[in-house]
Amino acid sequence: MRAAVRMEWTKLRTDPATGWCALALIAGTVVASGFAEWTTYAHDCAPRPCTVDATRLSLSGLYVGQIGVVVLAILAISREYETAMIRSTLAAHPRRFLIVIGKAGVIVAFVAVAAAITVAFVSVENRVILPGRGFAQLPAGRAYAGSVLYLTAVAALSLGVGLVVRHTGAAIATTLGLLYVAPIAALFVTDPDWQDRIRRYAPMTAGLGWLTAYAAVVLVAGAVLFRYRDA
Amino acid sequence: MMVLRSELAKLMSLRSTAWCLGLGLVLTVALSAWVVSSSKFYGDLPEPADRLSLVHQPMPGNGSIVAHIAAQDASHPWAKAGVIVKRDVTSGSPYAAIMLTPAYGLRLEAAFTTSVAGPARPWLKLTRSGSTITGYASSDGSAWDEVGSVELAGLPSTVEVGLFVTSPFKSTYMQGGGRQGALIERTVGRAVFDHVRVESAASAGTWAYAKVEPVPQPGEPQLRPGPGGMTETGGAFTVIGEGDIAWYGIPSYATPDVRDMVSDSLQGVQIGLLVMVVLGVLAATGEYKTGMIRTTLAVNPRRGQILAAKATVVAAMAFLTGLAAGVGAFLITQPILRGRGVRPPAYAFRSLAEAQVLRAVIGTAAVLALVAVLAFAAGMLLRRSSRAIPVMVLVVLVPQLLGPQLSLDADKWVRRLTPTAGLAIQQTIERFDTAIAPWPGLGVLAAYTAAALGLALWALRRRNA
Repeated sequence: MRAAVRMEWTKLRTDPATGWCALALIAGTVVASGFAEWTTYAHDCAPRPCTVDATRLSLSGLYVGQIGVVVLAILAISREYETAMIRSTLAAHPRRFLIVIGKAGVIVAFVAVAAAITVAFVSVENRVILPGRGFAQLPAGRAYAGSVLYLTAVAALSLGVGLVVRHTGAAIATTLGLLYVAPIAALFVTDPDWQDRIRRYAPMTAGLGWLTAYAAVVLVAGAVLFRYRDA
Repeated sequence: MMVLRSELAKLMSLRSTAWCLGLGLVLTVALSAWVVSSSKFYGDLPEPADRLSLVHQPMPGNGSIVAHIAAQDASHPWAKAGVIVKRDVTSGSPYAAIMLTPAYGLRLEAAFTTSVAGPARPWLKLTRSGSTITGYASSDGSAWDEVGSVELAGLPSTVEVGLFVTSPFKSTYMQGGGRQGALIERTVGRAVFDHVRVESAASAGTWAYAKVEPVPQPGEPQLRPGPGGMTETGGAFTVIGEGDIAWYGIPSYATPDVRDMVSDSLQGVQIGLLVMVVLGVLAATGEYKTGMIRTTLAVNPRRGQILAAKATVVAAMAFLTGLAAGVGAFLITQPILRGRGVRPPAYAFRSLAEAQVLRAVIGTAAVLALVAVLAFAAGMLLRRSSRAIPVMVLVVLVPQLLGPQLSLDADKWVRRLTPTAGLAIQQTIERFDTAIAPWPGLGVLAAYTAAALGLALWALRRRNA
C-alpha cells in the first residue's frame, strides 16, 4: 500500500501537467470569482427587496477552476495509457485495486490541498470586494469547506471516468459534459419541477452527498474494469 | 483536391470521428426534445388586461362620440388617451376605442385582439352603427379621415361611450445570483379632453367617472387600488388613470416572460457543441499523438494547404451533422411544444419554411461548424487534447453558466464578447436579455475562429512538428 502511494505520488509530482492544473484551479477560480463579484451588486436581483446570494456568487469561479481538477485527475490515469507507462506500473505493482486506491488517495489529497489554497484566496477576495458591492454578510466558513469537499469529489469522479474511458480526450469531454451540460440545459427548462429535479440530481448542482455517491459508483466501476481489463 | 481527399480519409479512419458525428446528431436531437418536453405547460392563457379610468355616459342606439385631446402626459410610451365605446363598465367587457399614445401615434383598437395604426391627429371620433364601430381622426374637428372600422358582436342597443386614460406598468428587468425577475412599477397617465360631445338621436346623459379594474381571481395578489380621477372645468375634462386595455395581438401588451420557442427548440446544441469540440480537437491532436503529422508534412510540405484542407473537412462534417441535428431537433420539438399548450395567440406555430426559423436552424449548423474549426485550431496550437478540450469548454460552455450568476449588464457583455455570441443566430424574438443581434453574434464567433486559424497557421509554419 505504501509502495503504491509513493509510486503514485512520484508520478503525480513529476508530471508537468500537475502544476499547470493546480495553477488553473487556483487562478481560474480567483479570476472568475473576482469578475463575478466585481460586476454584481448585492441588489441586482428581483423581485425586490432581495439580496444576491453572496456565497453562490463568490464561489461561481469554481465553474472555471474545477476544469483544472478534472484534467489533473484524468491525466493521472489516461496519460499512463497514452505512454504505455501503465504496463510498467502494473509490472512493478501487480495488485490493481491497491493501485486505484493509491491513485485516488494521492489525487484527492493533492486536490484537497490545492482547493484549500484556492478558497483561501477566494475568502481574501471576498473580504476585499464584497463589502464595496453592498454585501453586508460574507459567506460562512461552511461554504469554503464544502467547496474543498466538492472539488475532491470532482477529482474522484474524474478519475473514475478516466479509468472507464481511458482515452484522454473522450474522458475529459465526458466528465465536463456530465458537469456542465445539465445546468446549461436547466437554464432553458421552464417547468419549475424539472428545474428543481435537475438542480437536485445533476452532479454539479446536487449536494455533496449525491456527488460523492456518483463519484463512488463511477470510481468503483472504474476499479472493477481496471482489475479485469487488459491494460 | 488531393490533399482534401487525404485529409478526409484520415479523419474518417479515426474511430473518434464516427463517434462524434453519431453522438452529435443523436444527443443534440434528444436533448432538444427533452428540454422542450420538460418546459412548463403553456395551456392556460391569462385574462385580458382591462384597467382604465373612464368618463362615461350611456348612448342608446346608433351615434358618435367626439373629443379633442388638448394634452397628454408622456408617462409611458404606451400610455393611452382617447374615446371608447364599451358594452358596460365591467372589466373585460367588449370595447372599441380610438386613442393617442405618446410614442406610437394613433391607434384604433377593439376586443383585446385588433389594433390598427392611423395618422396622429388630436381630434378623435367613434361612430356606432349596429355592430359596426368606425374610427375617425381629424386635425381640425371638421374634416374627418376614416382610420378603420371593426365589427363588435353582442353589443346591446344601449352602450357606454366616453373618454378614457391608461398608462401601463413599467417593468425593469434584473438578474443576478442565477435568478431573473422584473421590478414592476405603476406609471400614472393624465390627459386633458375638450370639445367633448355625443352625437345621438336620444342622448341627454351626464358624465360619470368610473375606475374599471379586474376583480382579482382567487389566489391572485390584490393590487393596491390604482390612482385615478376626473375633474371638469368649463367643458374640459382632466382624467388621471393607469393600467392598460390589452391582450395578445395588442402591441402595448407586455409579456415579459415570453420565450423564444425557436431557440428553445434547438437547445440540444449545448451537447452538440461539446461533441464538435471533441471532433475538432481530435482532428488536430490525433496526428500529434501518433506522429502522423510528420508523415503528413513530409508528403505535402505546404503547411498552409494542409491546415486549410483539414479545417475544410472538419467544417463540412460538423456543418452537415449540425444541419441534420438542427432540422431533426426542430421537427421533433414542434409537436411536443403543441402538446405543452404552445399555441396562438400567445405563440405562433412555427414552421421550417419561415425565413427566421431557417436562419436559426441553418445557423445552428454554422455555429457547430465554426466551433469545430475553432476547436481544431486550438488543437493545432496546443497539440494535446488534454489542453485544447478544457480550453474550448471554457470558452463555449462556461460563459453560458457564469453569465446568469452576474448582473444583466455583465451577462450581456459576456454573451457579446465570448464565442457564445454565435448562439444569437438562434434568436427569433427580442427579449429584455437579448445581448446581440443574430448576424453580428455569428460574426463574433466567426472572428474568433478566423483569428485562431490564423494563429494556428503561424504556429504550424514556425514550429517543428
